[in-house]
Amino acid sequence: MRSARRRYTGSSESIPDNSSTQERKIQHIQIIVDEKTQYRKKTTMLELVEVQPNGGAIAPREVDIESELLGKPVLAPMFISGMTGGHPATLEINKNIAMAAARFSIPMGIGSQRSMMENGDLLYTYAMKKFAKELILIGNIGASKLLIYQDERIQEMIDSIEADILAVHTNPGQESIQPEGDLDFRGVLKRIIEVANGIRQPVIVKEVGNGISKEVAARLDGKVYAIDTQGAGGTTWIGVETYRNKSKYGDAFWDWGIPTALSVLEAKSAFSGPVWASGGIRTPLDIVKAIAIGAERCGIAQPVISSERKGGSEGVYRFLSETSEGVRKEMARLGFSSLKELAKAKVTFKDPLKSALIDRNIKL
Amino acid sequence: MIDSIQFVHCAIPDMALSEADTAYRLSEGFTLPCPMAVQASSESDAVQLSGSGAMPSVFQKSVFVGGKLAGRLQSSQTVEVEDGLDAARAIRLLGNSVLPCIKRTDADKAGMLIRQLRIAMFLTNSINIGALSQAPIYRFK
Repeated sequence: MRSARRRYTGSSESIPDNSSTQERKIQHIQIIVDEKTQYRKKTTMLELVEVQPNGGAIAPREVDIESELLGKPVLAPMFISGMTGGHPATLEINKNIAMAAARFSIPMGIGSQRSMMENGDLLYTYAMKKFAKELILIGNIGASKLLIYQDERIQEMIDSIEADILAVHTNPGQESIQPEGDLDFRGVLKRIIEVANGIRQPVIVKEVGNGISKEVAARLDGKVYAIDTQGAGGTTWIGVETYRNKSKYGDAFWDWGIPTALSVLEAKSAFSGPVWASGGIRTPLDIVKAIAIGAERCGIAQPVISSERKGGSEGVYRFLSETSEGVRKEMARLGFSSLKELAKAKVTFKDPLKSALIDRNIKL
Repeated sequence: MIDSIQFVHCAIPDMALSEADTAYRLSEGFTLPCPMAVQASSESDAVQLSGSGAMPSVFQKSVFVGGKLAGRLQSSQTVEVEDGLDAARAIRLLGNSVLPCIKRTDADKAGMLIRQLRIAMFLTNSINIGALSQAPIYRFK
């Protein structure tokens, strides 16, 4: 294992050290944990999904919730959405989450590696395999940042932390409200596809809380490994930026976005690869419903970081244990013995989710 | 009524926010620099508002741009909106026979409201108002 505390040097591009990016990371964590930056009027719409029981209830011990990802076993249909990294204070958070995720053999995302690209000294805040060798680690970079960096530099960025997957996050909503936001997305889609072809690791495209539509999913179909919806209903990053910047115009967009359940169904209707559900996933029943409508696995963020802040790595492990046991119990109650069975469940939809699906010509 | 629709978010727009062209051609055939106007309290107020502000102004059926009469509404209706996102929704729902208007008391917020409209255009990948009026929506019942 190489030392994670070495400096990341990058290569050709010269990007100045940007300490404001680092400070923003810390502000984000504080705001998410302490403040009310959840959607106000919008939910995930998972409450409008009903999973029909598969015969009678079975015993929880008969339920298998394991799956595989890139040939590695995953013990529960969850992953930890990327949240942080890039500030010395985020090391402890990522380390605590990584150790718990590895014990549970579930994938873990990290926050945007942009800080590390700007200041190589920060690599150690992302390089979690030093603490959890078996961890399935998901690297992370903003879609608009792909316009700045060549493929070789992206490959170095991923390899330097030994990430197994690269998540490319697209966040035009958040960028619109950030005073320092990137508001030029011309060529971003083309660049995502180039990078997906140009690096060794699989690429996932994820939103940051506003969801992926079927139009966007169709443009990514066959081009990237997976989509992570990160739909509306949980933390709103437009809300986080509105709060952080006391934005005058952000409030109107606080509830902007596609609810998570709707986004999973939109993405599944146009994308043939795996669709991961995240955005407001809070309970075991949320996870069961998301899988029943087509998600391969579910991402959780805010409850994980809250658990970490309260109880460190043990707090995260306890949360993951309780949630996965809850998934097993919900599946047992509904009579599903495996995730494959659950993926074929009969589901019904209530309005307004049902009418939205009809409007959008999405098969029920 | 405007609240009954929501835009479908475009996670990967193929444009820059600065490219969003807000020029708005009303069904009467005259074009405004943006599809929002300030509701003036008199004709002289309308002339003054549109001459010094960022937005056209309207008094009764007369629409002013840059301190001058730009045209008169015949079949088009004004509809009161609270912010730029509301204005975008009104256009998407009702087409170019509607002129979204803000209250006279909100005239000093004109720049911010136009910014909101441009954000709505960016997040729906709408390069101009014509594209915005065709952008995918949900009609939540």
